[in-house]
Formats: sequence, C-alpha cells, structure tokens
Amino acid sequence: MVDRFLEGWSVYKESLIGKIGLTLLVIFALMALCSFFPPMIDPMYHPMTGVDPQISHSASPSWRHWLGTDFIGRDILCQLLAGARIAFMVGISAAFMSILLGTTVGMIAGYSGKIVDTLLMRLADMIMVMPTLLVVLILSSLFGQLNIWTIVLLIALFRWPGVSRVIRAQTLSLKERPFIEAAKVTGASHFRIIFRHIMPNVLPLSLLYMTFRVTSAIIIEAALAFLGFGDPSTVSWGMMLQWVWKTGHMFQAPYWLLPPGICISLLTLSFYMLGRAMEEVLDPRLRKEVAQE
Amino acid sequence: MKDPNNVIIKLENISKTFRTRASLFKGDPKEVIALKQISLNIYRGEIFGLVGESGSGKTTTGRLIVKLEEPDEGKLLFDGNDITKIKGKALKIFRRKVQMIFQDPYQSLNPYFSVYDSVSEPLVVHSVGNSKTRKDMVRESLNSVGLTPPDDFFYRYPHQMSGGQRQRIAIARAMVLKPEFVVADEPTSMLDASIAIHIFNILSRIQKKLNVTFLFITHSLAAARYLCDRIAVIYNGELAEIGPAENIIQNPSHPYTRALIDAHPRFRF
Amino acid sequence: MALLTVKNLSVGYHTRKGFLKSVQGISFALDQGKSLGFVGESGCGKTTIGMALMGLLPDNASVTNGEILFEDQDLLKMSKKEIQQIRWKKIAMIFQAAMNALNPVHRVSDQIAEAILAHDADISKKTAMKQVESLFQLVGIPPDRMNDYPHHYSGGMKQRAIIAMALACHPSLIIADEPTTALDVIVQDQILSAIKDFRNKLKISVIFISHDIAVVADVCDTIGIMFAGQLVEYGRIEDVFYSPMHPYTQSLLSSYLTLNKDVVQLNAYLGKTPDLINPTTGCLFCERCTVAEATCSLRAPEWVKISPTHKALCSRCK
Repeated sequence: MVDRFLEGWSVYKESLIGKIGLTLLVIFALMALCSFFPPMIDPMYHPMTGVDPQISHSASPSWRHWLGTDFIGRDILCQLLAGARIAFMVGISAAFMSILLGTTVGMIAGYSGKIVDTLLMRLADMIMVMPTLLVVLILSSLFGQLNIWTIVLLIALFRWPGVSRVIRAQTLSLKERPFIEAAKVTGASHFRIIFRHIMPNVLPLSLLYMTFRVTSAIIIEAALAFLGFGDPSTVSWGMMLQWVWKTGHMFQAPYWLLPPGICISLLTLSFYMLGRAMEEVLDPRLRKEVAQE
Repeated sequence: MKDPNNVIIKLENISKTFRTRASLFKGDPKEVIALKQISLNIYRGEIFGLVGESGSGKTTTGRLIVKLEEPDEGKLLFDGNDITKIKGKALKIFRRKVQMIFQDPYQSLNPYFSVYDSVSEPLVVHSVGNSKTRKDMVRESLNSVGLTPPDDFFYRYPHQMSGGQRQRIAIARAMVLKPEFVVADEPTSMLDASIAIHIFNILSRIQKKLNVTFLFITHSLAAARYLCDRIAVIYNGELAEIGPAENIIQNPSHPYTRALIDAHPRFRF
Repeated sequence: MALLTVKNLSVGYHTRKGFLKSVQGISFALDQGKSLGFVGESGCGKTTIGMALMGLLPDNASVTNGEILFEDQDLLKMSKKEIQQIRWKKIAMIFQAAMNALNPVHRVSDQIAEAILAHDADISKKTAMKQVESLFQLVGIPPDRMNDYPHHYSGGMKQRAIIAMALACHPSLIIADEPTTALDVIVQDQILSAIKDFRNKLKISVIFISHDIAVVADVCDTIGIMFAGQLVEYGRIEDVFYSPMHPYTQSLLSSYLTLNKDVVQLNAYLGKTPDLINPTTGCLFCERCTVAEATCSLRAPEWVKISPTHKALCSRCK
C-alpha cells in the first residue's frame, strides 16, 4: 500500500493548489503545537488567564507582545496559537465523527437497498434541510452555554447526510462488481462484505469529504463563538472575534481584529485546497493498469 | 476421472427469466428468457464444458449453481441434496464446497486487498486455521498456480500485476479451501490467446491433483475440446447437445453445433 | 510502388516513471489491395502503430524516429489540418468494441450519412443515404434495419455498422485494431468474411491488429510478429506459419488451440514483459526464450533473411 500512497503523492505534488494548501496546513499545525510553549515561558502568556501585570488594556504590538494585547492585557498571539489548536481539534473531530456516521449509513443504505435504503435516505434528507447553525443556536439558548465537545457532536450529527449520499452512490456501483460477488460466493456475511470489502473502496472518498467537512465545522464553531454561543472556557478564533466586538474594539484595534479573521479564512481555505488536490489523486482516470506479464 | 455413479451437480428443469426495466430510450420493459427448462448432470471428477455464445444462458447457469441467482422454476441438487432454496448456515456450508472463478481478472480482485488478503479470505470467512497455518495454505495455493516463490507475491496488490497473474490469484483464491466443485466462467476471455493455454494447463493440473469437478464455461469450442471430458452446447437458453468432447466435435448432430464448428478460424497450416 | 511504407518508426510515451519506448524501429511496406497483420500480446506496441498511422497518438506520446510514407507523403511531417484531410477519407480505423462509439440517440443510417457528408460537402443528403444503403449491403446488414437505433442492434451488427462507417469515404487503407475480440465465434466469422469481402471487392488494403494469431492468419497475406515494441518476425503468412523461426513465434503457434490439431508442446516460459523504459542492450526476449544462448543477452539481435519474403530478428537462426 505504501507504494500506492507514494504514487498518489507524486501526483499530488504536481498540483500547485495542493502544495499551497499543504504548506499553509503545516504552518497552522506548527502554530497549534507551539501553543503549549508560551505559558511555559512566562505565565503571563497564558491565553485565558495570563494577564500582563503592566498592561491592563488593549495595547498595540510591542516586543513583549508581538501582536499586542486584548482588553484585559492578555497576549493576542498566544490566543491565536491556542485558537489554532482548538480549530484543528474541533474541525477534525467534528469532521471525523460526521464522516464515520455518514459513511456507515451510506454503505448500509447502498448495500441493503429497498426499505432500509429508503428509510435511511429520507432521514438523511430531513436532517440535510435543517439549517445547522440555527438549530444549534436554538439548542444552546434552550440549554445554556454549550461545552465545546457538545458543539462538536452537534455539528457531526447535522453534517453526516451529505457524505452519506455520495458513499451510498459509490456503494451501489461497487455492489455489482465481480470482487464483491466473489466475496458472496466465498461465503462472507453481509456485515463482512460491507465493512471488510466495500469500506476500503469508499474510504478515499470519505477522506476527501472529510477535508470539506473540516472547513464547515471550523466555520460553524467560529460563528457560534462569535455570536456568543460558544464555550466560554475555550479560546477559539471565533471567541476572539466576539471579544473584539463586544468590547467595542472593532475599529480601534486592527492588530486584534484582523489576525483571528485571517486565520479562519486561511485555515478553511487550506483544507479546501487539500481536498481539491486530493480529488485529482483519487480520480480513477489516473489509476493506470500496467501490464507486465 | 468421471464417476458415473456419482452425480455431484444436477439441474432439473431449471428456468430463469430476467426482466429489464423500462427506460427512456429502450421502450417497453422486456422479458429475457435466459434458461428454458434446462436439465443436466455433472459427474464428480470431470471437467464439464458448457459452450455457447453471449446471451445463450451459459453464464446464468454458472451463476445459478453458485447461488448468485435463484432459479424461477426447477430444482438444483448438490451431491443428492436439494439446494434450490437453502439459506443461512446451510448456504455457508455449501459455499465452502462450491466456488467460482470469474471472467474479468481486472475486476474480480478487491483493489485494496493484497494477494495474501484475497487468497486467505475464504479461510478467514470459514474460520479455517490460525495465522500460521493460513500462511502455509496460501503458499500451497499460490504454488499450485505457478506463482513462485509465493512469499514474493504475498504483499503485492492487483494493480501491480498483469491480467494473467491476477487470474491465477483468483484461481488460488477459489482453490484454497479445496472445494469439491468449481465454476470457471470464461476464465481466459479477457486474456491474450498466448496466456490462455497456461491457465488451462493450471486448471488441468489442479483437477488431477485435487480431483475437483470443474464446470468450464466458454464460447470457444476449441478451448472446451482441449480441457474438457464432456461438453454441452447451449443455444438460446436450451441445450443443443451433450456428450464426450471429441464426439461432439467430430460428429455434431445439432445444426447449431455445426455452425459453431464451421465458424472457428481454421488453421490451414 | 507501395501504398504505405514505414521506415524505422519509433514511438514512446512520457510517463511518470520515465520514457516508455513502446515501438522501436519498425519498418514494413504494404501494397494496395494487400493485407498485413500484426500479432503480439498486450503491451507489445501493436496498437501504438495503428494510432501513429492515423495520427491519433495521445498527448504524452512522441514519435522519436522514422517516416510514415503514405502515397509518397510523410504523414509525420504533416500539419494537423493535412492529417485531418487524410484521416477517414484515405485511412480509416476500426477499433476494438467500437460498437460503443455509436451515438445512442441517432439512427444508425443518419450517423453513417453524417460521416459521409462531413468529408464530402458536395453531395446531397439523398445521395449520401443511397451510399449508406449500398454500404449496408456490402457489410451484410438487412436494408430494413437501416433506420433503427443502435440499441436495437446486436453486438455483431453494431460492429458491422462501424465497418460500414469506416468504408463510407472509400479509403484506400483500413486499420482494424482487434475488431472481433469482444465478439462471439459465429459473429467473428461473419465480420472476418465481411472484411475479406471488401478487401477483395474494393481492393482496400487492411492492417489487422490482434493478439489472436489464427484470426490474423485467416485475413492477411503478410504477418508481423511483435514483441516488446519490436518486430521479431515478418513475412508471408505461409512462410511464417510453415517455418516459424523466432522462438516467440514458435511459442505463439504452438499454444494456439484448434479444432483439428492437437497442441504439440508448450515452449515458452510465462515471464514478465521486459522493461521498456530502460530496455537491455541484448535481445528483449531472452528471459522467456527456451533456446537462448549466453551471447543473446549481451548483443542486440540482427535481422536474418530466411527468404526474400521472410525475415526474423534472432541471433540463433542462421
């Protein structure tokens, strides 16, 4: 499998979009990793609780605080780094869960056909038409502040239908292929056929859709935080934007306003670029059969 | 070779009809009668050839025997037992004894399974052996199809191999459980003519060694002559003639068989 | 004067792993009204020759050497526009499973008439339709099926319609690449008869490409055996079949199944196709050859003239 991956990698490398996207992602990943260091250097650099004893208002960038401080003297750069960590966590967990759910449902629906298929797809349709953001807003206003992991779960629960349709279509076509019939003739159970034989063939598509799901998960979380429905104990970019807005610093502190916004845009863009470049790799037209008898 | 007292597969008045769905361009839904009241006996230990053109029903016959399809009418018997409607556990036991080699080597192996995965799959499904004994059984199977040294092939993937090699993997997979009956559905029609004979020789060798019974489905009378003891010629869902291979070719009685013989490219040299 | 003369043609493909030398130094000549067959296994380069002759090589292919002289003009030196004039009018091609190339939403007769009109703007639709009628007669499709849609046709009929389309503009050369491979024996026989028919009646030259040696033997006067991009044996059908010289030819002939002869002996190993990106300097067939000598792998073999009409590329045949 390694050489297949390497082959895919050599195709991926040719895509300019893919290279830019991957570079950006690596930068953000490094940011997320670095977020652990500043508080170790000096407690004043802690994103939530680190208050600079000397500054207690929003100050512009200086040598002590490369991006300046927020309204109570917390370092903005540290918050940005922590936000990167949160964005990755939220984005990837929510995407992963929705893909897990969507792929399983899609495979079962596609393989079973008839009633099970119809029921599952109608369920998917119903969920798909619901506006995710609105429903989560309503839920949080009903149940109070939501924990970050609850938000992740909710995003996953509302975003699985999209991928399930695609996986179902893929499963429908795979079901008729000779290697699946061969599995039936061998005596494999339906469960084994779905999860051992069909799943590896749909996983690349799932992974592709996961990259797209990450973008929507990050944006939803940011929107929720910005609107004040996020988890107040986590520092995310959306939370930072909320603080800028709420404390009336929108136009006075560009060093505070711009970084989180730019980061949200760039990170989602980089995942999108990754997905687009992966599409080229997964396109069956690139799957060459080399005759070598 | 053939044991006349031991009928391993028996088809009794099997009929099968396919209904196609109406589509925008194809007009009314049509009924295609694939098999019309077919009856035949296959004896244990023989290589039985089923020769016909596309649409004759030969592939459907093979698929019915391995239970990828159900007959609309008639009975299917394996070793004297009625297997027409078996399900569940009985079906699984049946599947251990009856296997199939598919026509298209480029599609009959899971692209995400290594050679070891594909060939050991029947062992895993039927819980045969443990990880060590399974490796030995896979080795034996790969050796029998000429893929030596077998360990070299364990971790290769289908896309790294040629059509002929892939088909041999498919044969190794079908044979790893040492089944009693194997349907070979046009195993060489997607391969070059020069590779075909190697595949036939492999099947012949395996037959002699394991005394497995083969149903060899083909559109080539010449291939059936080379490989088979008895041949049945099928045309439009009905059996035109059955008999020992050489007899059918030297003294065909049915006009369709004669037409098939005449149409074969003649080697004038 | 030969209709088609190919001199030292070499074609390769740019792949991710390097430059794949698909065809190496092929030379042959074809007279008007004669037929030539190329036989070899998958990957031997025979289809590439067909595509090169039609000017239909894909973007990643390049002709590294050689000339293709058709009616004394080098096709390789022509512009795209000039090739388009020749393609279909003078050289037509029948592909494998070309029956899938018929447009399902147009009647078969219309599609063939369209091909005629596209290459000859002067004639009227009515005249074109009359030509379609006579073409159908030539290939053996009943006139009452002319106006059907492709899905009403069987596989064999569709292939015959494709042949009619290829004949539509009265080409002097037809290249048939595995035209019967997807078809049953009886239908194959009918198609081969149709090809022999138009070859005889209309004196059209045919280049027949196949992996099946018996099919080629049925239709062609001359045969070229190809292996790993090279022509390894070339000559009149009778010469090559009665006295095959190259070990590969011998193995092809001995492994062919017939209804009247027994398969004598298998004399080739199942081996891999040689590496065409970095081919060895010696004989490319060495690894699979049962009579190879030590020198075979060191020195490239040269053409040995067995008779004026028969030659083989092998150091062992003298």
